[in-house]
Amino acid sequence: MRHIRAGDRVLDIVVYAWLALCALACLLPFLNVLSKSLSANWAIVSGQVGLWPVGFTFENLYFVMTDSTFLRALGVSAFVTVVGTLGAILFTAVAAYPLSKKHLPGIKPILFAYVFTMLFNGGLIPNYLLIKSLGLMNNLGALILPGLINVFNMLLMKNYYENLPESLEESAKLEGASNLRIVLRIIIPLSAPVFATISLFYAVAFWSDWFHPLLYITDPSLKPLQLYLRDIVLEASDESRLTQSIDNLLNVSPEGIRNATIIVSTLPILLVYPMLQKYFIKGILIGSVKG
Amino acid sequence: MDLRHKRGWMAAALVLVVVVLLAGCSGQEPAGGGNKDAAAGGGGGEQKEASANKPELKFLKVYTNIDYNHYPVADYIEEASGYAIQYDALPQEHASEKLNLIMASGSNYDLVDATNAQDFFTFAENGALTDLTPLIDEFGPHIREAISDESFASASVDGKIYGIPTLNISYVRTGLLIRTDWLEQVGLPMPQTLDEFTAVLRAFREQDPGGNGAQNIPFTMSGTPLIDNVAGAFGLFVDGGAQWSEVDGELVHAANHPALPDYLQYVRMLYEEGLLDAEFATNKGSTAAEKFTSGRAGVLVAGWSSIPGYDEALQKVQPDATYQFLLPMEGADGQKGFLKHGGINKITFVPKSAAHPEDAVKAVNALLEPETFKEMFIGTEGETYTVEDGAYLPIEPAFFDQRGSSNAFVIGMDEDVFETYWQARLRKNQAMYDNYRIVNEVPEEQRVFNPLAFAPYLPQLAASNNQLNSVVRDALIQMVVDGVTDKGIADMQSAWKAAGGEAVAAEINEWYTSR
Repeated sequence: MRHIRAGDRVLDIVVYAWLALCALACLLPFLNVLSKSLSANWAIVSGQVGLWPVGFTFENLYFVMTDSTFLRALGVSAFVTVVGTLGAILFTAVAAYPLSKKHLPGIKPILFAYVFTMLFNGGLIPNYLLIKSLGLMNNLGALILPGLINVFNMLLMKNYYENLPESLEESAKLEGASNLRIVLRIIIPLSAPVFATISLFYAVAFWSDWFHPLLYITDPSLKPLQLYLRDIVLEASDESRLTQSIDNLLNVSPEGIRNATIIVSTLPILLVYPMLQKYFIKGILIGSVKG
Repeated sequence: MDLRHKRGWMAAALVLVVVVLLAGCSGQEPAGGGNKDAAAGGGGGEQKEASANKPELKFLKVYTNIDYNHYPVADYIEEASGYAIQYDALPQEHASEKLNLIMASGSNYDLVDATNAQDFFTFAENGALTDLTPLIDEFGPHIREAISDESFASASVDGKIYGIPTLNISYVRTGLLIRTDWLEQVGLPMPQTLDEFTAVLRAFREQDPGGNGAQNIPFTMSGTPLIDNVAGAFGLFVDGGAQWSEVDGELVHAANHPALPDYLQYVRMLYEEGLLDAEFATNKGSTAAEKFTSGRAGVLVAGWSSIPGYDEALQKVQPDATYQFLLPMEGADGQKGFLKHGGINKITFVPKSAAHPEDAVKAVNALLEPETFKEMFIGTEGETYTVEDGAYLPIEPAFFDQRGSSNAFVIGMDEDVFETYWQARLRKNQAMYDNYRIVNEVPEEQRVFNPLAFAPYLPQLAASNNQLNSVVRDALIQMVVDGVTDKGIADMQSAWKAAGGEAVAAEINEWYTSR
């Protein structure tokens, strides 16, 4: 017995060491960016900044946080994320709940129509033309509306509703409650966990969306954070040194500012994540037990 | 429990969501978030009214890190031309793809900047652009004056002008920065020939003037081992991005250049003797710069535009350090020189679907009026600049705050005076300005122009050039590391052929001889 326990302990140590290494591999680059954002530019250029700031300064962070272009991009991203997530939950729930009622006539073809869009879609150009003819170019609606229902999330929610005990609704019906009343008084209050999980999925998707704004937004004042960040980071690549015009090279933002921009952009999601993480675990379990 | 309270909250939340969603998506200007009028302050609205008889123009620009609509030059342009202009900008990444998408779906832009000449010619040939010839004749006297026929030719198809070309300044971009204090310590003068350069590097290696011990690096670089100045000593005027040069009236890719084997032997020798950074092949631009600015490397291949950052770092890390660009070094056959870049920076065009083509040309014309152009580009004398002996000196920080990115607004240029104005911005940093002059004031014959700088759209070249350059880069690096052999050179040339080199060579030579 003792032998097995010792073996277990060794295994534990190996597992923990491995996990710690993985965690470090994720953490160290982040720390490096963080310390660069707190370092003087000369120290970064001469390669002296590792995990600890050299020539400590808040100037980079201050510059970023008072830069109107950055703040506007942050505002756009926040707006899209908040409005998008609230809207997406509403629309997803309104689609998912009826689809969970298998006894409704014609429900199967409708469900199939949803699933069909998971596998096939019009493609880039038709989507672009659609958004354009809807008059949504350079409009934040182009970032929100197409993302309101993610079929995968909708199916998760549908599964959740299917797993709610049917007797709940039956008893309510026996008591004389109308369908609307059932939804408002029973279903919605019971949906808190699934709403929380799916909101997190949606919020992360809206927040980190880079491709849709790349396509649909050309007005600089509507540029969300991810697009702004990508532009800033690319400025200093070796490739752009060869292809950029000399005047753009003369105006490249300093390394410290770029790193500070990355840090400040990561903060909001970094702060929200730990608070919502527990729902992630619940969310993975949603729909896993058929009952 | 207070279930009723909770229900009320839920219902209210739902209503709120619908309302916000409708508000957010219905108007052109979404509420909250990116409300540009709020960000612009009160100014925006008033200015648009001021020019009521002139329509607001929509201008699609390329990426820069400024906000076009809120940059001081934008205000000046509106004031001077009378046109309010709403600027949109392409992203830095996938700019071409997005421009094509916008053009293909019928844009309503009045003016569009294309930095990729290939895109411009594709649009022009497909009939997507407005023929500007009659408009310029009627409304564009200043445009005619400012821009040479030669430049116009590079934005024309079948004799029709489809765009307004903006030139790049012509300049030598890269050089070899050498630590002059190290030179003093090893008691050697500035090397003027390639042999002297080799001797200096050997002295750097043996005497370790920086006191770096095992970390001492005589010479560091990154990227393609086609080194400006060193290559010039072999009569090879190419770099990582521009690998075609003229041999006996014909354009030849670096892979096939007769001088390449000798040049490569030399670089291989530097590597073998431990003079060239052993990590040169994996260095990024920033790693090579770190080695130089932290005082571990004696020579760095550098573009002068990066000098301000290097200078600050080196001053802090090694306050006694001095450095400067090497002049062209003479090779065994007496050859020397730099590669000079230049050509078209961008072409501004008017899409066929533009709402106000006439006004677009009028606005461009207004900005090319000589005094207007000057003020747009460098501001007002006494406020943003002063003049001394015919040279324009910036007043800090006003110049860089108000005109530091004015180049982004230039649409065509007053070609005769542009360079004089432009040099003002180099004074941002004295070390950069001095070194810019060192490599750009060598005799004209030592600055060899990239022969493709003014090339029109050549489809084969556009399709294969990056691939050719990267095939050759890999082969060159391998030979520097493993040794230069006839077989290695032959392998490189066949890889070059496999990547479509011959078709490109035929295409560009057809243009070059008929030019």
